[in-house]
Amino acid sequence: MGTLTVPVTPFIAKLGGVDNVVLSLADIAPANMITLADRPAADSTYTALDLSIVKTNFSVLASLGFGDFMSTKISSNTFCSYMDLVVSQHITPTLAPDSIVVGATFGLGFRLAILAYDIDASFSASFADIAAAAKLKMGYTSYQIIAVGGGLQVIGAAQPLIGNLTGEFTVETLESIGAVQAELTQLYVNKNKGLTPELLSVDIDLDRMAKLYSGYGGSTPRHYMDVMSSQHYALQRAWRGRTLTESLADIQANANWSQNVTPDIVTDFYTRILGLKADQVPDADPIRKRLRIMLQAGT
Amino acid sequence: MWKLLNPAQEAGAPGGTLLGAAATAAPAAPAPTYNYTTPIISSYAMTAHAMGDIGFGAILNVNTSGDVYYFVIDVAAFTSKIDIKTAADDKTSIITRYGIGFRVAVVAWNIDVKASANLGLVAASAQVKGGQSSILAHAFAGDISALGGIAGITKFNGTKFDAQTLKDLAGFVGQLAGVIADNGATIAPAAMDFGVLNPNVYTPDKVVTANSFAIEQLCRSTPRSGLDNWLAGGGHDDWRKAVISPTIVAAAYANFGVTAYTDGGSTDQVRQAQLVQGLGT
Repeated sequence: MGTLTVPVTPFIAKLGGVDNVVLSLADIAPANMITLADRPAADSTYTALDLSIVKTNFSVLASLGFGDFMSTKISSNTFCSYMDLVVSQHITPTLAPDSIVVGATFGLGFRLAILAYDIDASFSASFADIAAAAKLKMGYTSYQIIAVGGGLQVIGAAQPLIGNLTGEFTVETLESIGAVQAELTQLYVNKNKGLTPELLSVDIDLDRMAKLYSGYGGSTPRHYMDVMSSQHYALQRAWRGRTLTESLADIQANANWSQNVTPDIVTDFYTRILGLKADQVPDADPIRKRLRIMLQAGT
Repeated sequence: MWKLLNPAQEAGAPGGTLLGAAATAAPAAPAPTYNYTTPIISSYAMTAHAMGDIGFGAILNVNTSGDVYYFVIDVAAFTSKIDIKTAADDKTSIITRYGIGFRVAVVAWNIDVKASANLGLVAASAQVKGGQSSILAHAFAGDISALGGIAGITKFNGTKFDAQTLKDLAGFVGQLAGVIADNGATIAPAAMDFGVLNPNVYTPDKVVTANSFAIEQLCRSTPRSGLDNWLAGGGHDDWRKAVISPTIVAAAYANFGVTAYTDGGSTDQVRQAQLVQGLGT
């Protein structure tokens, strides 16, 4: 199995005594396994350009990080749109021995969201119509810019819009949004040399995750599917009150089980994760509670 | 959402300076420059509760029975330096960033509540209906005096808010952004709380839990986008305290060949999940 690309916040920091930890990944592995020390080389070129202009609904907008604006005033007649522009480059970091981070994408970009509501439905076709309607019918609008990378130059480029943040959404606002978009696009695409890119996403190696999750420190490769299958088997047997010795013997009772269950991983589940001895029955209340939470998630 | 640090509570931190109070500027070092990488530009309307959270607690002493409306504009830039510190009270880990910028907030009350979308309508409503409002502004940087012209912001503190004030404010906010864009690199950053670190840290139990969730949900042809919906369902309290990692769920789905966020799996993929689910039963 290969890798999984995970979008992350750009925060890389020292955590629990470990340097260069990708903070967004703290829920999937210990700090020493989610490090990323490398950064893109200075003045390296961007190899990918993504542009999207999307009409959407409010909950999608909220999930993109625009949650604070106007959340209480949503009526049925709402027009939402956002525009993304990102230039990015992929790096392959020097692999730390235990790290599961095998790739990273850094980039620059901006996301501009516009929200309009209480506007006559027949107007909701384009930004120009929205601007006209806002002027005529006192509809309500808001807009917000989230930028990744670029620092003070972005504030300079967006200055015409910043003075406008207080006001109504009008044809003039629309013009300044257009001008700012053009400036930012120019900045990110053609004048990006001096700008420091930020972390956008990382690639994590599933087999390296599998090795961690099965507690195996040796050189035997592990596959995520084997770990998931074998741990699910062990979980079901433990829930039924079977000891480690009994569960290992039970594997042969069913062809499906013997084909899909790896005994070493079952042993690791009982001894390392549950903390049980080979012939200890998993019937103590604290163990039963942990088993229930692990087994019944998603049921 | 970031929160300004209160310098009075953060002894030793290079805290922000509330404008209008005596600005105690640190002696300027020989012209260093600072690399600000992350810009933030936003405006939003918000509730009283959130307002207290972002460092404008004092503004909440507005005594009113009606609706209170807040409007906030943020313009800031941060360096890439990030620190993690532990909160004294509840031991949560707080992400601290370093930046310069300003935040302007307008609070209005006894106005037409429908006028909550933008400041133009608030100003009009305050003028017409005799509603009341107030403006607070807060800039932060190691040396406020370096921000030429920023002292002008004090004239907005506590002013009556009407169409003319709005015009002045809009012009001023635009100018201030220009000052920061042009001179910001020479101004030292101030520390601020940027957010709380995800308290859901790795444990072996959580990995098994997230994998079980993925297996069970894929057996039901439910895409991984269904996680929040499932957590909201009855009887699922034990899983609500950030027990299930969405990233591990995504990894488990990917192992069944299901990668898209809203994909509930093909017939074969669902059958494969059912096979895994049946192991040991």
